[in-house]
Amino acid sequence: MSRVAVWVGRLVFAGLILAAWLNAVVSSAAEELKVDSAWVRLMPPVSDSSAGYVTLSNSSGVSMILVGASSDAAEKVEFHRVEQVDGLRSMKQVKSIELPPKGQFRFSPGADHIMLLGLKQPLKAETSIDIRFQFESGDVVSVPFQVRRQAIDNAGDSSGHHHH
Amino acid sequence: MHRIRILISGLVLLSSSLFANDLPINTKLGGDFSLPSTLGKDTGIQAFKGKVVLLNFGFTHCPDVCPMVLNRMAQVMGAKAKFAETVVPVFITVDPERDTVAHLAEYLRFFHPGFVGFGGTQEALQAVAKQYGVVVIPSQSKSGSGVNFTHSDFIYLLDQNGRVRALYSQKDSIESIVNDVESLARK
Repeated sequence: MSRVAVWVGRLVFAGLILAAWLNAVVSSAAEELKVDSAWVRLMPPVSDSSAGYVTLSNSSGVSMILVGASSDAAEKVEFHRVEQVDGLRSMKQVKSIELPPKGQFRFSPGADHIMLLGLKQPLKAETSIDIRFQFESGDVVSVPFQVRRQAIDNAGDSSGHHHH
Repeated sequence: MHRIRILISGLVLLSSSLFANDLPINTKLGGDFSLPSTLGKDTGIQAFKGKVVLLNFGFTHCPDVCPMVLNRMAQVMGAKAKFAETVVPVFITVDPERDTVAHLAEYLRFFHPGFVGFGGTQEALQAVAKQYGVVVIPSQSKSGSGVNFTHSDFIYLLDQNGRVRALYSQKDSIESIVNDVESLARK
């Protein structure tokens, strides 16, 4: 075997390793993101805003940073956090959200939620709208959200079954 | 001896059925007012004399917490068929600039057809909020949502004479509210 052939073999091998490594690090968010119970609140037709809820799970070994969202159904999509102090609820915008490695983040009623501002038309029950999530990595993942009056598992919306 | 025991157990039974669900009258909060309403006239709690009232303060440009509370009130209303006749769900805005009475009517009927909404001037509404111990802090947010109102979001239970009998937070179950409403509504 010639020396050239050995070198070519080594280069190919190195290339394969590099490709595998790149694939692990820059794997797309779409593959690593698990989406559960995505729904958006059906609002009175007179409302021009709504809120969306979803549980996002990151199955990868690196943090995923959510830096924005958009939707064809609304002019603006923002992340908001409800804070409760002394029985008072206040809301503030959150610019980015971290999905820790092998961890999850839950948008739920009365807590962190996705605000849809300037609805282009009233949402219709039993339909769905897409919300695109933008990650710091540059990845964009489109997620369908069901339009509903109440939470899917009915757990988050009313706390109705908890007894104190 | 036997008779006394029967008498006592009878009294215990009677008192427990009468007072088990008794709700203390809150003398610090509440009171009547006169505000423009979705009933088409200026009125107040006196309009609901003889009925139990579920009352909440909020604003319609609030897509998370407020509709959640209104859904809870609607759930209570739907729990018993007779509530449609004996109970009135009431919403008072803290955002009169955006929440006109016409807007309130459109907005509220989505949650329950029996809803009555109140609007009015900033000053008048602030006075009513204060009467009910509702804290309202407007904040101009940098986000696209415009003005936000930090506010307390209790549901107030008022008896047939407009007196505050209970306050419910998000932690209270629908079931417990329904029980209280029923205990008042049967009187």
